[in-house]
Amino acid sequence: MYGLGRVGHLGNSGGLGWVLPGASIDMNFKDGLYYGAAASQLAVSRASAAYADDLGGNWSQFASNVARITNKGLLSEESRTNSIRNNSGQGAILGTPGTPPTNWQVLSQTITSSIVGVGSENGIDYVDIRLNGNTAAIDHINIYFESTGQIAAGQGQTWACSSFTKLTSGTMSGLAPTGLQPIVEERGAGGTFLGFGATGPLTLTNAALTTQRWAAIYTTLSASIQSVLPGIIIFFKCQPSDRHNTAVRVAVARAGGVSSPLQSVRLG
Amino acid sequence: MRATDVITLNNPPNFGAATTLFGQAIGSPKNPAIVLVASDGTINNRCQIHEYQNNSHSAIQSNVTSVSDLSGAPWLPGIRGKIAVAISDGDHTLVFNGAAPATASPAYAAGPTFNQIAIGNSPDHFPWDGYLERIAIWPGTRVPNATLRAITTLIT
Repeated sequence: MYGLGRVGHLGNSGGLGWVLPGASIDMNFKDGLYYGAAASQLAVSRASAAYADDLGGNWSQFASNVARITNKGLLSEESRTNSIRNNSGQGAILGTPGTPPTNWQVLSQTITSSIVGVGSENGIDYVDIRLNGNTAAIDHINIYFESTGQIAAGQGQTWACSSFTKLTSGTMSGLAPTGLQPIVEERGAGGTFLGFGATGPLTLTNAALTTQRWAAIYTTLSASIQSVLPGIIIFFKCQPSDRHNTAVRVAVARAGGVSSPLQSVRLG
Repeated sequence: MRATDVITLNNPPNFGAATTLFGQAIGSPKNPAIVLVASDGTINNRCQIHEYQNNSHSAIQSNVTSVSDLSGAPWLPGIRGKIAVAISDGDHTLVFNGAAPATASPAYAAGPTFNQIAIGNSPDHFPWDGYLERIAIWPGTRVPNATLRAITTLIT
């Protein structure tokens, strides 16, 4: 049996097999088991909403002052600032090419694009962008989450760029290197391109947005660096039938140190 | 901007003359980073388990006397670890992942002033910056070394 006392503070003496022997309080956040203190006894002070993921890769948003508990455990993090001013993609106007979200840049290389939707999926604001592939060669398009020169940076700094990005129509089962590359670019005086770090190409699917968070982590190299430019590149070496039927959903872009996602205050 | 998580426990237990703390977590990228602290709400009277410079650590401080800080086996970022500290008068013992205990014999007037628990911070200092999987507290017991080793042994 086990002592009940003040919520079991007398200690477990063997009645609950999972409790560590003799412990008065055993809080197994990961498995959702609590002895001697309930999860509701956690007092959390956090002056903002925040995200946490689970073992399935699903990200969920938690309101301010709410403990972030998933089947990975209790998440405790220091404060972080998102260097991207408009990471929730506000201000986009539908059309071809349409108007990108405020402060974003959509730079067509060999792919042209259309803004085809805005909305919210599981509480995450998104922008849908249709890709209009032109050839069966390697097409790509660059989407930057800030204006060039906006995010000051120095040599030897580690930057992370992340976003939720999913496929909303069409396929990315085309020929390599079709896929997504999160990137961090180094820029010098006047926005001169100096170099970049990237992850991927990564294959997108139409699974839930909260399961598809992608990131690149990069330590800047150039002594001439003045800023970093976070974004994504989408490579699209597709089958002819897919060239005008593929769209991606982009949300909660983030640049800064390695951390969980940050959705900023919506603009306007 | 995302604010810092400051996590404490409402209605903490009454601490006695000996205490044991246990934590299980995925290794933190920060330095230092706190798993669990019992204290009187100040840094002058506290018992804690933490990570420092990629090593497992525990510390006690009583009535502003110098800190007794023990270092155990490496605890690398992203790697699961189980850590426990047990204290009583003149006894400070750290065990990490079932390894042999690290010990010290500090002058220490143990625990009755402890009345706060902070989880994953100190509080408002040194956040863990990751997932804490489990914590356990023996507020009036110095758990024996054999048990400390058993409960911190990783099951693979």
